[in-house]
Amino acid sequence: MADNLRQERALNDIELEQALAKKSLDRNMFWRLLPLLNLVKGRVATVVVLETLLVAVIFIRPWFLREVIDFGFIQTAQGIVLNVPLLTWMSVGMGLSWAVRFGISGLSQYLAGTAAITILNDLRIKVFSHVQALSVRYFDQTKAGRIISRADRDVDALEPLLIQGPPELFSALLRFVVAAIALWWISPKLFLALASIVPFLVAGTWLFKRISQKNWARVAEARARFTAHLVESVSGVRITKQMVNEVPNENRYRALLNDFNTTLIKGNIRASWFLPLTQVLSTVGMAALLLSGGIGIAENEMTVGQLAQSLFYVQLFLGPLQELNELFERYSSGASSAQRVFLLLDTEPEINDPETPTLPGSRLGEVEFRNVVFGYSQDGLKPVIKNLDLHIPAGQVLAIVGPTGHGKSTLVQLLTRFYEVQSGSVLIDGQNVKAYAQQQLRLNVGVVLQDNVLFSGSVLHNLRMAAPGASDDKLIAAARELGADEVLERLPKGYRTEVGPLGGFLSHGQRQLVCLVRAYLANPSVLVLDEATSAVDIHTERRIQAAFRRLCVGRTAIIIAHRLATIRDADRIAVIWNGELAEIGSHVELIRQGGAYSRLYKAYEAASVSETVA
Amino acid sequence: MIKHPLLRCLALYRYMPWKFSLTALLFVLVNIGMAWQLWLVGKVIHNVQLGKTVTRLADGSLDLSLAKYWLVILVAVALARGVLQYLGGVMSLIIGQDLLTILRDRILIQVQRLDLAYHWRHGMGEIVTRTTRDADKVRDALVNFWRQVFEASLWVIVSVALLSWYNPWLGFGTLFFTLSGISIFVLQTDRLVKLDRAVGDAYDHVNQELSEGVNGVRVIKSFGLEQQRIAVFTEHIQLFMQQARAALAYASSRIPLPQTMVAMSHVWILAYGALLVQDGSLNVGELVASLLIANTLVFRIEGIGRVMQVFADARSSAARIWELLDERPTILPGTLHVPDGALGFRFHHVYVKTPGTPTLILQDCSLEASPGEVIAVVGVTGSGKSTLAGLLPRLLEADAGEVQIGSAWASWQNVKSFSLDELRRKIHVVPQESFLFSDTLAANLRLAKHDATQQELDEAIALASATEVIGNLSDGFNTRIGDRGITLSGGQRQRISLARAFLSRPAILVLDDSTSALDAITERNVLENIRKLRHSSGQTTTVLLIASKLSTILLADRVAMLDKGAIIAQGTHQNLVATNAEYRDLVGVDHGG
Repeated sequence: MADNLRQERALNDIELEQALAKKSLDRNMFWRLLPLLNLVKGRVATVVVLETLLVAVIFIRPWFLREVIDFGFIQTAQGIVLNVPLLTWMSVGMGLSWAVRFGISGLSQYLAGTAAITILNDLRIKVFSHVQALSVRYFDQTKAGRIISRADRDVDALEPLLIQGPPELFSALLRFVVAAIALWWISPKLFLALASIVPFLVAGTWLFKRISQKNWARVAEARARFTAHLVESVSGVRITKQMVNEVPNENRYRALLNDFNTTLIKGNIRASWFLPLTQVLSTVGMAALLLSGGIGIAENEMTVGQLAQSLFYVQLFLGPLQELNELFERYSSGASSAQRVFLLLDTEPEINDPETPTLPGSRLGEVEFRNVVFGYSQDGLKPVIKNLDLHIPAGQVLAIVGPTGHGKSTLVQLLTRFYEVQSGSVLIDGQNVKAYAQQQLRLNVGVVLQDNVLFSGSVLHNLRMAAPGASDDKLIAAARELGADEVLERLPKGYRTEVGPLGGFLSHGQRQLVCLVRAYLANPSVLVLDEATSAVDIHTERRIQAAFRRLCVGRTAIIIAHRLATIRDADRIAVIWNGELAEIGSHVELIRQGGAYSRLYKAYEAASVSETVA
Repeated sequence: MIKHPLLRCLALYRYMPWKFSLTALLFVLVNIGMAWQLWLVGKVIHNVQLGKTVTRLADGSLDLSLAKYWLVILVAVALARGVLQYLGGVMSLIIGQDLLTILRDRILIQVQRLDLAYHWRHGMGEIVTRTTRDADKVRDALVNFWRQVFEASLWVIVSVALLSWYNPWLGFGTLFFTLSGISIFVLQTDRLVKLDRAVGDAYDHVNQELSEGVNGVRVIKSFGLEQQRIAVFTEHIQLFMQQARAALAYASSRIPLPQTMVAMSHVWILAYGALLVQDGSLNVGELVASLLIANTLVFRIEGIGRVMQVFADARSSAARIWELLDERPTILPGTLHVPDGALGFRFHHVYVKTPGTPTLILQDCSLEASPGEVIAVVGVTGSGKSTLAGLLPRLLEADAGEVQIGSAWASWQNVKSFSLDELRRKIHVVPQESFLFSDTLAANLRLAKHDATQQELDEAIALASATEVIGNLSDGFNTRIGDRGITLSGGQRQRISLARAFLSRPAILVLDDSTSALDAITERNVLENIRKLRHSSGQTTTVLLIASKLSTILLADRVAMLDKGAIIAQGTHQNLVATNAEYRDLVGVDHGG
């Protein structure tokens, strides 16, 4: 099992992402992150001012104490007498300083927080818009979950990098400088005493950052692995149950969890000395101050109050360091998230609109594949389509048949320009598809696939996507014309039934019917049905076919189906074999020729004797 | 416990009493060490003030020996404390991970144990959220539990104790302000939690939109909906931003109040401490030490605002996780062994409801198949065919009536009486939408039979007409599929699923429209192989075909027609064609066929 886990480590997340995006990573992120802050310049500046004020308020506080110690107790013959007015003022001052301190930090948090909300969500919209522009190949190669987490978790992880980190670092730095000045002001000796620990602190911080960054990357990867396993276990639970594979699956999950725990704990054993170190150093600093302060007092160079005051400065100065641990963790996960987000934003759409797109003129629906070569791997090996020529005159119904995996669906992808031909051209109404704007092209070519998705909302809501502004009655009428009404009206709330996320509440067949009506409503001049009714019962499919024949007069239709009965009535039938056009002609012609189609048909006929009579 | 889901998570520490006690002890020592250090600082300052620490000797030089003595002790305490703190930190991480592992493990077991009906009712997305996002929130709360809550509470106790030792009123005042601050905070949490929930809900919509925008990309492109989707997404984002800002405004304007309240203990110590100094019952060193202690207290409690938010968040997440973990599967295993040899099946007046609604999917459905029979079930889209398929291996359960296996000669036995594992090994359903795990092809096949030999794999693949699928893959059986490997087409996936089914050699094989993406010839080959399977090697397989293609139907010995949840007609295809007009309409043949 362990070996197995290591093997999977061959590509880490970023490398995989790079491979998918076909881009190498621009590691200089700082200059790319900075412009994002432009949107919230004002708030960032205010936060900086507030943090400065905050430091000032914090540094006043020990002064109150010093005043009380040095001037609050008046030595008289009767013993110590309290300087009550001074104590009162100092206490009020101390109370106020706390109130102001928390007030300011609340305000600063609000400003920084709203700034974060603005930037991150702006980025989220950018990522989403960019994703919408990417080409289908990207989606085919990248798991949806991966893409989603770019706009989801990765964007969230940027917050410490952009919003929390800088003010915290700035404040820590400022405290350091102010503490140094204040100590120097009280006595250069105190300053030197505290300064003696700074080199250790700097070295410790540097080492810690180095170790922990490496750790967090490893931990993040181990985490991603067990999470992915869990997600898959949920989606595949039916198969796991069917295969009675619960125990092995659980053992595998446990192994991944253990791997994660070991990585995390080992990393922590190496890195968690930092927090104790800062505390030990802060005590050493205090000891050094006490020593040099003691000497100073013995030589009457300073007062007890000043010594006490300086002790608080040590606490103030080293306090924020203790939060650095968490900040580093979040910083490094933020950094790799930023890399992934930018990588996605850098991924160019593979297929772009021409600068001056041709407007579809005639909209007749003539389709031509001219000498097309295409393969999914871009190295040109293993072409799926080889030198294919196919002309479909406007208004014709063409059926495409051929074995699974021989390139039928690929033709559809090329027609809608989801993928680009490697050589040759695809033409619609005599124009290369590359000359159209993609949206125009796709409005012209309606495609219904076997596995089309729906969007959450009602059935009507989904239908309206293809015909914005159409009345409910018009949408329902379209479903009736197509013969999908019987099935759809049987749904619990008819056309107002909620279809659920991605249409998950409907059965496969019901989903296909909604997709079909949706495509019909878009009124395209070329309609492509790629196994569009494969999960629909035969009775309904028949009704739909009859309706199609009636409704699609004058429309070019390309039908890919495995049910040969669906195909027989087409004007022409094209047989695609190994990516080539094997034969083409009407049913009668092809049967007479006695080629591939006739063999296919005979085999089919033998299986379904009665259908020939149908 | 039910009301405090987070406490219930923490109560899991009962499984590691020793480690837990050790960690707690380390934390206690660390905090006592801290108080000791500050006490020492006070002592040194007092001596400095009295002029004892550093004295001028007769020769004019300074005697530092006493100072050195105290400071060496101080640094030694700090060092020892540092070591303990390191150990405590590592230990708290280890037991925190142990606890999370228990929780994560239970979640997976529960996911696998719960009925499919539960999964359908809740949807995959929801369960994935529960298992990942919610578990993360509980983790955040756990991390904070040790670093903030436990440590801060300890510090309250230790500091109040030390202050009380100096003077009871110092301790009491500090306790008063600290507790008042915390109670103000607790009063605010309800509203904070509500606001946070609104933010969470708004974000769920954003996420939903995001998921559909990515998964539905082909449809979006086909209908040119890109701009529309971006507009809708932006709208949801804006709603989310509004909610987030409201929650932030509330939190950042209200939290300073309890924080300031806690800080008042600092002021109290300064003022009252000064009075005590006047009395002579407290020295200046002790006053400084007290203030340092209070300062640390304020810092520790300062972060409580964020911690409470994390906890409030985690509370609802923990509640959702326990809800999942507390769910009991309704499908419980029986004890009987499934008999070897051929099995038939029988649905006996079966009723099934849509979960959570009174709508009936199957009503009074009865159907019987003898061992070795190939029976096809047909029906219009949405008539309940897939439900029927799921009943046999008890992936779904009948609400009334019985599902039985066996035969008329031996006897019929309710599926509920058998061991669930054996039942599922004997009855294999190949679902409509095939699912493969991201692993190698061979591993996916071996799910059905862990010890399958290469030859058996080859045979199964051949039976499913998938030999050419394997042949086209660069690494053959060792090709990785899924997330980090290649993507197979629908038809290829279906054939692999079928091969997996063949490999398991079930007594009853149910094909739930699982040849829909195959072309006519491939499909025919596969179905022929299933027929042959019945005769080869003495193994008799009963086959239930859920079919929508005529070619599939024709392979069956007998056809049953499902309508509105009941079998309304059955017989041979010819027979039904001849006698039943609805059937002719359904399968699309004319009379006389």
